[in-house]
Amino acid sequence: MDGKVHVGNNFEDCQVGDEYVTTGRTITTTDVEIYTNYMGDYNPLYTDEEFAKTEVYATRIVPELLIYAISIGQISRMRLFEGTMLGFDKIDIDFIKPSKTGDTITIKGKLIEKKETDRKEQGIVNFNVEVLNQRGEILARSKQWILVCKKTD
Amino acid sequence: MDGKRPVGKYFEEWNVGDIYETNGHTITKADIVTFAGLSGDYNPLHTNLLFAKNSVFGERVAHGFLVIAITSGLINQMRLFEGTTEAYLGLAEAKFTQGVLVGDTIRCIGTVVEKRLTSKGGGLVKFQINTVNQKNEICQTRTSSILIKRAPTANQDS
Repeated sequence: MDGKVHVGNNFEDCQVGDEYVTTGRTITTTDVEIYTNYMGDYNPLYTDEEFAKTEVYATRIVPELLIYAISIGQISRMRLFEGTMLGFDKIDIDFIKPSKTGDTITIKGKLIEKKETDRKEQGIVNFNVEVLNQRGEILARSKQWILVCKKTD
Repeated sequence: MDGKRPVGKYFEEWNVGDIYETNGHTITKADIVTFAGLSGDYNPLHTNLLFAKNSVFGERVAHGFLVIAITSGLINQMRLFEGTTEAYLGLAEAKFTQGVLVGDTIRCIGTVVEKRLTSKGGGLVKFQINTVNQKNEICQTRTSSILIKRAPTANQDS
């Protein structure tokens, strides 16, 4: 047994201009609790409603990194790079607007650049990514540089 | 404790060059399982032992973003930002230079690299954050920008 998995797109299959839109995922209080309690981040903006009421957002907000972690999962579940993604080379994220529990997020991505690396078996694809809520408001903008396998033959 | 000011530092209390170092966290299989379930990222590098054995890591590796989340937790556990964060603006140049494996103990060193007022008078502080393992090898680097509350007695024009 060699742990073979379904193979997604290789570097050669990617074209500048390729786009995706994920399905939606509704952020629940359970998601937030698992994040704060298991990642150990008890920032009162996320966990203390009485405190959060007195702050600028007027209620607890969803941890920004949780929104992004779920975004990565939504993208991963599209199976575009299943078995072919070696990891991230680099990520930039701007958090634009906070989210509250009950929001439903979708993620849009557009491939804007392909580049070679020193290693002949992998290349880098650069996606512009937007995380949106159910009202179409942008919660975060990000650039992802992804390491993708080349075809082996 | 007078109970009147937040525990965290105000913008004016940070200086370029300030350094913090967090406690360590040992990565467990449970961390990886929890994060795969929470995020929905079941990349076989994290979840399939047979696949991971054939990868450059040789075993199941922690999600890069799991490590970012845990390090954010370690940083906030220091209480430096408690009650004084206005907004987490973002992170940049997040690089994943070395895999983090089950049994590795990671901690962060954060250094203030920039401190300035925004056009709206907000207090922006930018940190260079390096995540190292038990051998002091750098596993990840990133910058992190936070909007931090101004101290109540601050001259708002300065």
